[in-house]
Amino acid sequence: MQKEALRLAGEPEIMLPTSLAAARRLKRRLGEEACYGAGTTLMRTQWESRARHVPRCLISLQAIPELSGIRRAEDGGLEIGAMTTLGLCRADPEVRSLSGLLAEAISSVAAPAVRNLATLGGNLCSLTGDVVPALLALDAELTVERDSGPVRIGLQQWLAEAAEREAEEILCRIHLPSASSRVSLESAGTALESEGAEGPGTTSICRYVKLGRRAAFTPSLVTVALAGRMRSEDGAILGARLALGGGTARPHRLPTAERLLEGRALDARVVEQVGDAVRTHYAAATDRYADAVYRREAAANLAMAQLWPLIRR
Amino acid sequence: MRLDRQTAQGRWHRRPDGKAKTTGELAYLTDLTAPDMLYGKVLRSAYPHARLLAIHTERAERLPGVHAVITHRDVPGLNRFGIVQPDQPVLCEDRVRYVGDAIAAVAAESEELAAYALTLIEVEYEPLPALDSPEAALAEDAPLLHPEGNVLHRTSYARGDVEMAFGQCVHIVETTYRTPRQMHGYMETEGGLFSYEANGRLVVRAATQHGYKDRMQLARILAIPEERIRVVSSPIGGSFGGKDELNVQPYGALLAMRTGRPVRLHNNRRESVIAGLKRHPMRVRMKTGIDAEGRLLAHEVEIVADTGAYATLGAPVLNFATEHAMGPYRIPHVSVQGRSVYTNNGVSGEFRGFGGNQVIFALEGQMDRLAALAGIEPWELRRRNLRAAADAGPMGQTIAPTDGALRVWRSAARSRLEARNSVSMQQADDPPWLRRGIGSAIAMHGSGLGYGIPDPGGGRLSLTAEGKLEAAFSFEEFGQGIVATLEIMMLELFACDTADLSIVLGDTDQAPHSGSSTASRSTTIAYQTLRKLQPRLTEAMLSVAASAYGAPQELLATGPGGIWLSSSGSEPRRLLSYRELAERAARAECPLRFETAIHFPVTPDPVVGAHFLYTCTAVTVEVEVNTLTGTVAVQSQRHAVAAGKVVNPMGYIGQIEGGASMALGFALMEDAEMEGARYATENLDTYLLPGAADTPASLEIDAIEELAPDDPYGPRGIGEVGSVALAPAIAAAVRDAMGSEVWVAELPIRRETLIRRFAPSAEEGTL
Repeated sequence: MQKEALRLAGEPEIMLPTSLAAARRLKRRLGEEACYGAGTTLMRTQWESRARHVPRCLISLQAIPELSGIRRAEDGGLEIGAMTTLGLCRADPEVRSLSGLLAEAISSVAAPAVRNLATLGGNLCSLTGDVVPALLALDAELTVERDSGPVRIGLQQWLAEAAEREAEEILCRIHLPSASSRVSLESAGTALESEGAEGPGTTSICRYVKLGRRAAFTPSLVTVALAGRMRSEDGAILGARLALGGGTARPHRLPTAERLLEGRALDARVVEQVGDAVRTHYAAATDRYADAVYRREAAANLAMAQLWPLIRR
Repeated sequence: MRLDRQTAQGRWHRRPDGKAKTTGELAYLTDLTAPDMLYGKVLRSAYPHARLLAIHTERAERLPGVHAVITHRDVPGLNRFGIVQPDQPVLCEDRVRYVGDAIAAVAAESEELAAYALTLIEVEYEPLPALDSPEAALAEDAPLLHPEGNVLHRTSYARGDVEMAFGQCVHIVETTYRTPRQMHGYMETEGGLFSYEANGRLVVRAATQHGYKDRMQLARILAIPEERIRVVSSPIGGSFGGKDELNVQPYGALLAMRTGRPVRLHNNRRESVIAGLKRHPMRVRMKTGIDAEGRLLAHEVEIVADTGAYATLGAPVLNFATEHAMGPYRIPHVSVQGRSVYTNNGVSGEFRGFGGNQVIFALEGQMDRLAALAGIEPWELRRRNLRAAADAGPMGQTIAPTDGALRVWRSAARSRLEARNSVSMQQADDPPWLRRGIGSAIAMHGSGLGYGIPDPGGGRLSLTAEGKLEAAFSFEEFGQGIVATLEIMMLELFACDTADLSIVLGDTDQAPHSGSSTASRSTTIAYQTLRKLQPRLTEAMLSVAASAYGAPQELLATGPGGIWLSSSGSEPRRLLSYRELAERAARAECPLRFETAIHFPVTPDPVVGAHFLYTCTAVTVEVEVNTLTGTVAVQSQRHAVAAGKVVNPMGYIGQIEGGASMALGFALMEDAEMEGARYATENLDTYLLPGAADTPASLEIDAIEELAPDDPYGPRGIGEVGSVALAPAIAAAVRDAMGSEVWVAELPIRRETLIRRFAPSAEEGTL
């Protein structure tokens, strides 16, 4: 009776496949009636607010071994299983030592109790998660399981192709390249500078800032992530990657601004040009809480404020 | 006195209910279950305004596991509720007026089944145009929401000749202020357990702020005598005014009555948001003028409150706003006109501050604007206009003499210097996009229900058979700390131990009528009741002890564990325990049980709603505005509060801090926006309340205990006063930070108005 009542009241039946193949078979068989679920922290709020209908079946990916775990890759980078919770990711010493940016971004997601359920893969699959701009700035790659087998693909490309994705596709692993930023974690908004992975002669730049509607446990209005290096001898910026997100906006890199920075030493004029580029090219969202005009202005300001302290005076 | 743990010393009393609450062990009324219990759910309207053509419940009734489906046809008594003016249908008959209107209720064997059963109830509506603002409701061709029209209540107060006086003013400021529809945001949503005792009496275990009033309303709805109902209403996981009115009680009671089984009903957050009360959004237009010396001459106020679909306490809230629109100032010429307007928006009602918050924000905004216009320092402008101790109240009524306004003003004057220094020191290291400022506001806040409204209280003091000194009040504990406050009062009156005490609250069978736990009145009622009863109980106890032991009564006193004898030349010793005393009294058939009824102190002058006892406060804040984003962060807050003796230091701090945190949300982020008379934010993931990270790290309280000489009324209430003056202080500080271009007239403050384009080249001076 209770199970029937749950079904009647709109709770999904939960399925727990133990392999990628089994999960994909289930999805193929059930089609629109089923959806994959990771931590389901976001999905539950969407069901509750009726922003998304409750599927008849929820295919939980929790019991699939190859989706968990964090390991060093041969190239010195990190491979993070998509089902790794944000809490575990944040606490992991390898993650923290490889990328302060990622740990910083994770710390800004929701609250500890949510991070103990929510997964890194889930945050990515939401397409608007707070971690996405950080991973874009870090030039992360993904391994996804498709009809053709496992495929390794850049995050940027994966985001661009989101609309045409195969229904049964499963995000398996997130790859962080070793060169991204070997730095120690510092607090938000402070410069993270140390010897870059490229060896002596450059320092790493690594910034993450999230503007929310309140100080903590808040959705993002604007998120700015910046990674790159600064050449010690002349202060030239190398390999800069600037990514923006916030609200329902699909996070994206900002190539115009990156080109402005590349190979140049920062001065007020360059910083202002980057601000102009952000204001012009940031695909900001509009919702009840902030419109795109405000978000573009805030994003430009925040981007400039990250660069401004790096100007050599 | 700076109030903190150090200055409180031995009176830093850990609240007895604190541990169970913080560890989650405490069972609230919504945690209760009973064998054979059913689950109740209420079907609310699909439209903000519609005619009800038909309600078909057959399919829901046929669902296995469903035990009752009720509609308006099943209400045996008055199908209306409302504390003052019962105009809200328990279950709607032929019309719905807001999205929270109840149409049917179901009792089923599980919550999910009950929820599903609701979907099987077919309601035929004929949608009507929704009046989604007071402006729409006041339009000439607007449909009438109630037979008497779309204005629930009007207020009008005038003295002097405002028109003439504006002619004499040197500076006049006119501004329209707007305040948000704030949600109480209590952690525990409305709910409870409804069942029958073996003797056939209905027991309602559900949160309210006035158990006896619920009992009266429920008796009227169920058409049974009040004595057939027991209301247990404590402890509560937060209320702030939001649970003062009946909420789910009628449905739980009707379903229990219909099925004969216990029924549990507990709103989820969405149901709570949709059906529950909110703070009245108000549009307050003020025109205020001063003479060349900065003395207030004329003050004209127009208040329009969106009271939503039904009355509840909309009229008293408007009365309160009207009375408080003059603040603690002497103003010879005043005109205040208020209207509380019915709309199809969610119902507005009681909320901590009770209409004061909105008008104080406006009035203090006026003072700052006038100060700027006249070139007078804003705090100095206030001093020139402050009331004196013997002045009449805001509406000319006699009030208990108070120089609290001047005392908090002085305290805040010192705070302003400290805050200014602190800001100057920090500014030196700030990046160019941070701007800091300070701001202050002052207010006086009435306690009690006001003239013309019955405001009875009382309680019982006894020595129980178990030998406990028992204080019984029908008040509810909803986080304010009433248990600790009563314990401290009892300890000081009887010089006993905590272990000797029993505190009984919130149960119409166990405690006499104390009135509502509202309007900052509980502490005053408890103080007066205990002061009256303690000499009687002590006298009776000592008399029993004296006759039992043949000891002279004047050498006996109450103390830890029992009655103590002190004789000259020897150490005092305990003569007998409270338990032994209780046994002796029982044998002697001498009841040690005293009850009294009192009335909250009230002004002798017939000004309806006007108050007699006032608490004064002045708040100073430091804010930081990040102009990159327009975000305001309050860095510190200093509250001066003149409320008489501090009974419970920890509770006092908690009330001021809690009230201030609510005011912070009111000022910076909270607004239950409506679109087409539907809530746009139905859960706490979109309606954001301030979190710990948003509240200032630094909170200081200067508790001013001095009252007028021979003041007989005891400690004043502090439950609301922490919430009334913070928002205008923040608005003033934002202006101080941003410069003359920014005047905040609308809450919550919008980031869009404070964001400024960062120009690195200007900073570098290179362009």
